[in-house]
Amino acid sequence: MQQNGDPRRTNRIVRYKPLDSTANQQQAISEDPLPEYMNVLGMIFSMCGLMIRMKWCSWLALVCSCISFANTRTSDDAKQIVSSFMLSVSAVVMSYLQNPSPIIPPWVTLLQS
Amino acid sequence: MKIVWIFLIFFIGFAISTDDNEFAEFEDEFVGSSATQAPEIQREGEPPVLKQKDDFEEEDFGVVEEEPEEAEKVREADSDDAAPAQPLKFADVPAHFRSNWASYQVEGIVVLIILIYMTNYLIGKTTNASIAQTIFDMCRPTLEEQFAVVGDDGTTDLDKMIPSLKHDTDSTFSAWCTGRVNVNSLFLQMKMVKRQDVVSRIMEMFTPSGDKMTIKASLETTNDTDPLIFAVGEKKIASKYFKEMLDLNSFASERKQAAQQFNLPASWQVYADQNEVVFSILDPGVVSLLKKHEDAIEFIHISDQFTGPKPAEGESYTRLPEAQRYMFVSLNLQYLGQDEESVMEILNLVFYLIDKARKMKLSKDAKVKAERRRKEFEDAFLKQTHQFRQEAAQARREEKTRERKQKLMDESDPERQKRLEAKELKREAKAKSPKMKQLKVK
Repeated sequence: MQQNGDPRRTNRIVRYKPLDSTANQQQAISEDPLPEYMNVLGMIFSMCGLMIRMKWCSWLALVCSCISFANTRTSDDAKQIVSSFMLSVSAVVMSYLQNPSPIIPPWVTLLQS
Repeated sequence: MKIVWIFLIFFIGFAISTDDNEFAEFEDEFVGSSATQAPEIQREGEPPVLKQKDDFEEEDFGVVEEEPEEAEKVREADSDDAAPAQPLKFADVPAHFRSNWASYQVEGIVVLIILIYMTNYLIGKTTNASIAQTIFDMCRPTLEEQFAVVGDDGTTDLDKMIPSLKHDTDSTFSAWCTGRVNVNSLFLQMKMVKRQDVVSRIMEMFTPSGDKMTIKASLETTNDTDPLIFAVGEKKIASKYFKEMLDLNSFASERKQAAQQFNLPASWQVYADQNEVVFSILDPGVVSLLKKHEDAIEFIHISDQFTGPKPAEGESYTRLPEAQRYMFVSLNLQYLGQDEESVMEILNLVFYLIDKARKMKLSKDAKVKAERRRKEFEDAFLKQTHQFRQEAAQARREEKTRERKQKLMDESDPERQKRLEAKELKREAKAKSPKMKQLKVK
């Protein structure tokens, strides 16, 4: 099993080169598409929370931002994550600034009936 | 009705400014009332008159019932302003944010979920990093023994290089090794379970995959290396790669008799383009190691015709990608990480196979057969794409002709236009002339 002599060759070094950014992105996305899905969902829920004033959409947007953050790749742009977070937080804040009443839990409705 | 409200506002302001000293104890109450009065007016401006009356009556009753003593005091102290003093109590008790935290049950649950998620993120991230670092520390002595550079990140100077793992994501780690005989580069990659993501943890319960380590080695190509396509591994994984990889799918086939002959585990499969390759690669030492680390080793693939995955259904290459010598090893970290000796043995097996692939010699017949098979594949590919390339060439010719005619028509200078037109006519005449020549020859 062992090689005779030293197999190392300092004159045959091939430096590491990151793959082409487009190809690398596509490969990463095909392997693990979850961050992209969560990012899009977060944007959609944020818009619903801001425009239609649905509180549960705002909260869901915040959860999607957390999931997207947890699955971040080092090659991804950090601005995307930050803007997603800020958009969802602003959706939550605006919803409660306009109408500070709490979401009516479904179990309260069930208990009453 | 709006005029009445405006009148009341003015009256309240007048009262505050003139009676500050006499009613010092009620200053806070007045300020609070005036602050809450404005939004209420805006709201009640919209509903119809009937509702306003109802609200007025209800609030009036509420004031009397809740604060009878204060009402009496107000009447005694300020009999002249008794009538306008009554409305001051209307908006004294709005539903404030701080007073009813208990009502925000859904919000509390969501915040709790987010906190749990973030806690799991930190714990999972740390766990993944520590596992990967442990495995890498086991591999490092062998890698440093074999390679001049371990853990290259592509930017640091070579003399300042410290062997280290590169964190691609919170669950993917890699190390680039280079500087060894017979190898251009070796890319070691660990794909852990995504412990930092609760969603993935839940999905992992239903479809467990486990931690994996892959080794991708780019082998040196020289003139005196023999053709070789070989793969061995667990049945499920091996058959999956057989379907996916273009070189295995095109050149290799399963070698059941050879697998039985070597007494490989029953759940394993062997693929090769020739039997002689199998007998050359699988010598007794290799077979014994494969059996010993049956659980840890998932798949081994060595090829001189590696071109990556097969193109998707319906698609095809317009031109054959360049083949390269390549070795791929997939290991299961769940069993690999048990002890350091196993790691070193498997890594040494990898390096032994690399050197074996380089030094392997086939018989003349086997070599000729392999070359013929590759030639046949290439010819079949060219035939398949001939129609496509012909159509592409025709489209290019038509595009060129169209451009020439467009240029001719766009030309504004009469003399140049005539010259271009003459050239075009000459070209067309030339296209027709070969027929006459052929006739003459006949």
